[in-house]
Amino acid sequence: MDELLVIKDLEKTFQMNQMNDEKKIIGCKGINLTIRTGEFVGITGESGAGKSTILKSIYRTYTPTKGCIHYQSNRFGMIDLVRASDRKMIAVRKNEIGYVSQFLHAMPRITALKMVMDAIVEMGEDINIAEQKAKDILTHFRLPSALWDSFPRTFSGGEKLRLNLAKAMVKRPKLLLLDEPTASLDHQSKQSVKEMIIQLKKEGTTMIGIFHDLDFMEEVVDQSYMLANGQMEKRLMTHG
Amino acid sequence: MEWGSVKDMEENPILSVRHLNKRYGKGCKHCESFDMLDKETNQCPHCGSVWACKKVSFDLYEGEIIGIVGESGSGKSSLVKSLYFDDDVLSGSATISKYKHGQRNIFQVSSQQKRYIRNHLMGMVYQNPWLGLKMSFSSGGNIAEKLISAGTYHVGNIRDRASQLLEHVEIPLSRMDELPKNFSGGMQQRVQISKALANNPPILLLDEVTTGLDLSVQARVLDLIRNIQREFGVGMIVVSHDLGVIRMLADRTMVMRYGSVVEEGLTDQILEDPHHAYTQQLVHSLL
Repeated sequence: MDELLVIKDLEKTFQMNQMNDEKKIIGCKGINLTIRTGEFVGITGESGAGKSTILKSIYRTYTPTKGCIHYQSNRFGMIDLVRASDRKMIAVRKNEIGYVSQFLHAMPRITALKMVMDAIVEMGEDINIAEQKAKDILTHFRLPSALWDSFPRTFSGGEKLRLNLAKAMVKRPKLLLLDEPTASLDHQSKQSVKEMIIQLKKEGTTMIGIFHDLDFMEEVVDQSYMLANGQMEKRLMTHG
Repeated sequence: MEWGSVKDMEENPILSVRHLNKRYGKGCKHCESFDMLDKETNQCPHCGSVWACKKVSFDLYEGEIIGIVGESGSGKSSLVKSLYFDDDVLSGSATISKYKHGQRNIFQVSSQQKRYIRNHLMGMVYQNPWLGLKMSFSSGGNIAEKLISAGTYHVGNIRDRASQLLEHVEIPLSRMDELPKNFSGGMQQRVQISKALANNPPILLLDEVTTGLDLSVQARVLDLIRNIQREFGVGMIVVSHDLGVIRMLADRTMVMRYGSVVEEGLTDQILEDPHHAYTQQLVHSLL
C-alpha cells in the first residue's frame, strides 16, 4: 500500500511571549509516524500527553516548530503540511482532510441540517443531493429529525459531537482526523460511530483517531500507539 | 517521493496590496526610518506625523474572507479606507485583477478611474451607516444612486434591481421608499450592504459593520455576510476588533498593531496557536 502520510521528527513547542520569562511548553517532540492509504491508526495516552497536538499539527491549526509532515494530496501531489501555503491548506481542508474536534464551533442562525449541507455544497455538490446526503447521515447518527431545523448551540454534548462527525464524514475525506470521537457518547451512539467508521474504511478513507476508550479503539483500528513522555510507543493489540 | 513535480496553486489574487504606507501629517526625514516613531502612538517625535499603515502587503483571492484584527488605532480602518480611496496613501501599490488585467496601480490612476473602480469593482460598508448612506434619500434611492453611477439609467430596471437587493438583505419592500434614517441600526447596516453590492463588485470591504449592534442583530448581519460570500463568491476584507466575528467569518486573518501586520495565518491557527506577544494577549483576553 502507498504511504499517505509520513511524519518525521515532529516537534511543537508553545512559546508564551507575553510572560516576562518567555515560558516554553513542549506539546510533542520527536514524533515519527507512517500511515498507509486506507489504514486506521489509533493514538492513546494521558491527557496532556500531546495527542491533540499531533492531530492539530497535521491540520495546521498548530504550526509545528520542527520536522515535516509529508502528505500525498490528490490535487497538489506530495506536499509538506508544515510548510504548505495557507491557500493550499484551505483547499486541502475543503476537499481532502477532515477534522472532528471535541468541540463544535456553531455559526449563529445556521441550523444543524444546513451546517451539514454547507459542508458538501462548498465541495461543489448539487444542493438537492446535498440535502439528501445530509439527511441520510444525520439519520445514521441518530440525531432526531426534530433537531434538524434547530440551532446546534442548544444541543447536548453528545448531539454536538454526532453533528460534528456527520459534518466531517459526509464529505468522505481522503484523510480524517478524529479527536476523541466517542468521548461523550452512549453505547448506542458509539455503535453508530463504529458502523460509520467501518463504512468509511471500506470506501478507502484513511483515519487517525485519539481514544481513551481502549476497547472501542481496538475494535476499529489497524495499529495503535501509546503516547507517553512525548514518545510514541507501538501498542500490542489484545485481539487478533 | 516526487518533489520535483510539486505544482503550486494555479490561482491569481483578485486584489494585491504591496508596501502600503499611510501617513497623517507632513512627515520629515526622521520619520523615514520607523524606529524613531513613538511606540505607543506611532507618532514622529520631530514633526508630529502619525503613521497609520507601515508596509502593509497582502493578497485577496476570489470568494475568500480575510479578517483584520487589532486594537483601536492599529491602522485597520485606515487600510480599508485607503483601498476605497477615502484617504490618500503615501506610497505603495494595489492592483485588481479585473482592472486593466491587474497591470495598473490603482492608487496612481485619475479620479474618474478611481470613481469607476469604486462603482464597479469595490463595495464598502462602514461602521457608521451615515457615511455609507445618504440619509435624505430613500433606501431604494440609495441603491438607485449606486446603480446610476455605474451606468444603469432605465427606471424599471433600477427599481427591479433595488427590490431584489433589499429582499436579499431581508428589508421589507413596503419600506423601500422610506428614509433609512428612520430605520434601526441593524436595518441601516443591511441597506448599506445591499447598496455596496448593487453593481456586483468582486471585492467588498467591511469596516466594523457589527460593532455596536445588539447580539441578535449582529448574528443576522453575520449570517447575511456569509450567505453573500457563498452565493456571489465575493472576496471580502472584514475589519473587526471582535475575534468572535473574525472566527465566524474569516478564512485567513491578519493581526495589526501600530500600523504593521504583526502576524497572519489561517484563522484557527491565529486563534489557537498565536505566536506574536500581542496576538497572544489578544486571544487570551477573548471571552
